[in-house]
Amino acid sequence: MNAKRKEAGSSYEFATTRWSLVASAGRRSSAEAEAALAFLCQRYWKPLYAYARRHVANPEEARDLTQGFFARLLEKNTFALAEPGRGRFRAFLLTTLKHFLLNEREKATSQKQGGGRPVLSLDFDKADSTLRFEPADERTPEKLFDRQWALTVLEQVMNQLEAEYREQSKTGLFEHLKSFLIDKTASHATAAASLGMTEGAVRTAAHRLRKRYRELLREEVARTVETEDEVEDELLQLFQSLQS
Amino acid sequence: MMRGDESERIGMAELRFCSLCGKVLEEGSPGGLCPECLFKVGLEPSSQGAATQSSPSGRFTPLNPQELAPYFPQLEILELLGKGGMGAVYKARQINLDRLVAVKILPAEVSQDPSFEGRFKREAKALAQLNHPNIVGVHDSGLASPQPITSSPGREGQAISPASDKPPLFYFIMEYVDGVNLRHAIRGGKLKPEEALRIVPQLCDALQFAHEEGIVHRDIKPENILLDRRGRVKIADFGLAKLLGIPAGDVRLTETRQIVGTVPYMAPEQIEGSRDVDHRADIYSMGVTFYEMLTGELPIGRFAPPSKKVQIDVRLDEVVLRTLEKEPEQRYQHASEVKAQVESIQQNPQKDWAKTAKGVGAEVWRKGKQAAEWVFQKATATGAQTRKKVEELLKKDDARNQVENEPSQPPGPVELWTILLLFACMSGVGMLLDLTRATHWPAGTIVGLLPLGLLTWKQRGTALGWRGKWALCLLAVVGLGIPLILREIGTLFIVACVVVVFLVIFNYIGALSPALELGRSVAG
Repeated sequence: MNAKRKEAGSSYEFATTRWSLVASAGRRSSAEAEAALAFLCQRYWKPLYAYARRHVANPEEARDLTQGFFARLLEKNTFALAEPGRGRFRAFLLTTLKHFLLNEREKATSQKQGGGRPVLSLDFDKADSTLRFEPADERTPEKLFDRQWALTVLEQVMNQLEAEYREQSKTGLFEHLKSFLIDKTASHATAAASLGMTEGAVRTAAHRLRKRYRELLREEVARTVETEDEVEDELLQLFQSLQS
Repeated sequence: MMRGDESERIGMAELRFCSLCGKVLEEGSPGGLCPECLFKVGLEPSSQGAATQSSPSGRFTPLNPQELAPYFPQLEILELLGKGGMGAVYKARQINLDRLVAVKILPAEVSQDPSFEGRFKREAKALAQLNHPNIVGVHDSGLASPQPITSSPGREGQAISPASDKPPLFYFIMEYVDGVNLRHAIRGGKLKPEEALRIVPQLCDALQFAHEEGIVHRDIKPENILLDRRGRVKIADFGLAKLLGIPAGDVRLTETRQIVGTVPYMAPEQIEGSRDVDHRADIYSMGVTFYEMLTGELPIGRFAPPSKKVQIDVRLDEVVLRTLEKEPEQRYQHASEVKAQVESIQQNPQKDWAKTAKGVGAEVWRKGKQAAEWVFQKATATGAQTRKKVEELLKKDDARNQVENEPSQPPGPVELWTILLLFACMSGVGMLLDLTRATHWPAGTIVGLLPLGLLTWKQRGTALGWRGKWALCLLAVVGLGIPLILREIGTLFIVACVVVVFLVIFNYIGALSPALELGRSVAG
C-alpha cells in the first residue's frame, strides 16, 4: 500500500489550494487559508444549493440561504469552525450547512445573514436548469448532496481538462477523444480518420487523456480531504453516491 | 462484450443513454459523459503497476492464438472468441479427443496476488462439481506455462518452467458452446415473450442447482448466458466474479481496483458493497435480464412493469418485479420459485374474461380519477375563497389591534394549510378516536380542541380580537361538525355551546393569537 501511495504521490502535485490548508489553519486564520476556503466554496457551492433546494420550497429562498451560508462561513469569526480533525471538506460543509439551516428556521423572521448581498458569484440559473429537481426523486437530501458533490468534482475535472487542451489549441482533439475516456473499446480507426491522425497516434493520445484525467481527478479530490491517504476512500465514496 | 458506440435515442423524450452502462444520461452530465462510468475510469489507479500483460492503457490485451499455442501443446488453438474484464476466451480443438473446447485465460494481473493460486484451486474444484445441462461445464483448469514444442503433450499445467521469460497463465478448459450469447440474441431490441419465457426456466434450473451447491454466480447478464444451436441455455463464467473480484468481507480493500459485476445487472446490495451478498443477488440479476429480454430496456430508476411495454400476461409483472425487489428478503428466495411461477402462468393462460375485467377496471379507474380531479379543483377553489374571507376578517382585526395595542408583527397572509390543519384536527382526531357519537360528544369536542391548545403552546405576540377568534372557532365547529351532522344533527347545537365556552376561556387566557402567529411565521 505504502509503495503504491508513494508512486501515486509522485505522479501528481498535491494541489496547493486545498482543504487541509484551511483545516490546519484553524483558529489562527491566515489570509492564505481564507483565500483557500473562498476558492473551495466557489468550486463546491452547487451541492449546497441542491441541498438547500430540497430544504425549502422556493428557489429564491434557497438562493438566499446559500448566499447567506457562504457569507456566514467566510466571516472571520466563524472561520475557526474549521479545526484540524474536522474531517473532509464535504462532510464539514454539509454539517455546517445543516446547522445553519436549523438556525435560520428558528429565527423565522429575522434578517437573512448577508442581507442578500452576494458574496460569491454563483450562477443559480444555470444550476437550476441542470439540477433537475424532480418531486418524484426519492433520494434523501444527504444523498442528493453527495451525488451533486461527485458531479461537481467531475465537472471541475472535465473543465480543467478541457482548459488544458484549449491552451494547447487542441480543443478539437479533446472533443473527439472525450468518449475514449469511458469507452475504451470505441473504434480508434474512426477517430483517426476524422482527426487525420494515425490509429496509433490516436491510441496514444487517448491514453494520455485518460492518464491526465485520472491525475486531475485525484488532484481535485485531494483538495477536499485532510490527508492524502483519504483520497482513494473519498473517490470510492463519491463513486458509490453516484450509483445510488 | 458488446457495446453500442453511440447513445441511443428513443421516442420523443430524446433520452440519452450511456453507451457503456446503459443508464440514462442526465442533463448537464460532465462533458456529456456518463458520470458513473467516468468515475469508474477515474478509480483505476493513475499509475499503472508492472502488469505483465497490460497495454499502456492498463487494459487487458489477450494473446493471439499463435502466441497462446505454446502454453497448450495438447490443444489446437483456433481463434479468439472474445475478451472482457475477466479474461479472454479462445476456441480450440482438443487433439486427442477431437472435440471442440473453449479455453478461458484469466488476466495475467491475477498472478501478482500470492493468495490467488490457492483461491483459484479451491474455486476450480467447486466449479468442476457443477455438472448441469444449463451450465457450461469445466473440463480442466490450472496454471499453464509455455512449453517447448518438443515436450510431450498433455502435461499438467502446474509445472512452471523457471527458464521461461513468459509468465504462466491461469486457465479453464471448458465445454464449447456452439451458438450465440443472449446479448447477441437480443441485439435487435428484445425477444419475443415466448422466447424469453422459454429461457427463464432454464436459467432458474441452472441457478437453483448452483445455489444448492453453494456457488453464487455474481455476474449474471446477457453476455454470460449462451444459447446453443438447439436453443438450450448455458450459463458461463460461474464463480469467476467471486474469484477475480471482491473476497467477501474484504470489500473496502479491493473495491477501488475491481468493481466486479456489470453495474446495471448488479443487485443493490452488490453495488453498495455489502458483505452479505448471497444467491439472491443472482435472482436480482436474472430479473434484470428477464426484464430486458421482455422489454428491450433495463429496469433503471422508475420503470414500468413489463406488461405496460409489451403484450404479456399481467401476472408476469409480479414475477419480474419481485425478482427486482431492492431488499433481498423481499425477492424470491429461490430460483426454483421463479421457475414455478413462470410455468404456472404459462400453463394457465389468462382467461378472456380476465382481460375484459382488466379493461373495465382501467376504464373505472380513469373515470374515477377524472372525478377526483374535478372534486379536488372545486375544493381548492372553495378553500381559496374561505381563506380570503378569513384573511379579510383577520386583517380587520389586526388593523384594530394596531390602534389598540402595540403590534409586534405586521399582518401577514394566512396560509391555506393552517386552516386545513384546524379542520383536520377538529374532525380527524374526534373521528379517529370514534368520539363523534352522541354519547361521547363532550370528549370528542375536548379532544378536538386539544390541537388548538397545542398550537397555542407558545405564549407570545399580540392578543387577537374577537372577530379573529370567532373566525377560527367557526372553522373548528364546522370541522368537528361535519361528522356530527352525519350522525346526529341535534348534538351540533350542544357542541357549538361547548365551543363557545372554550372560546370564552381561550379569550380569557389570550391563547389563540399565538396559534395564528405561529401559522404566519411558518408561512412567511
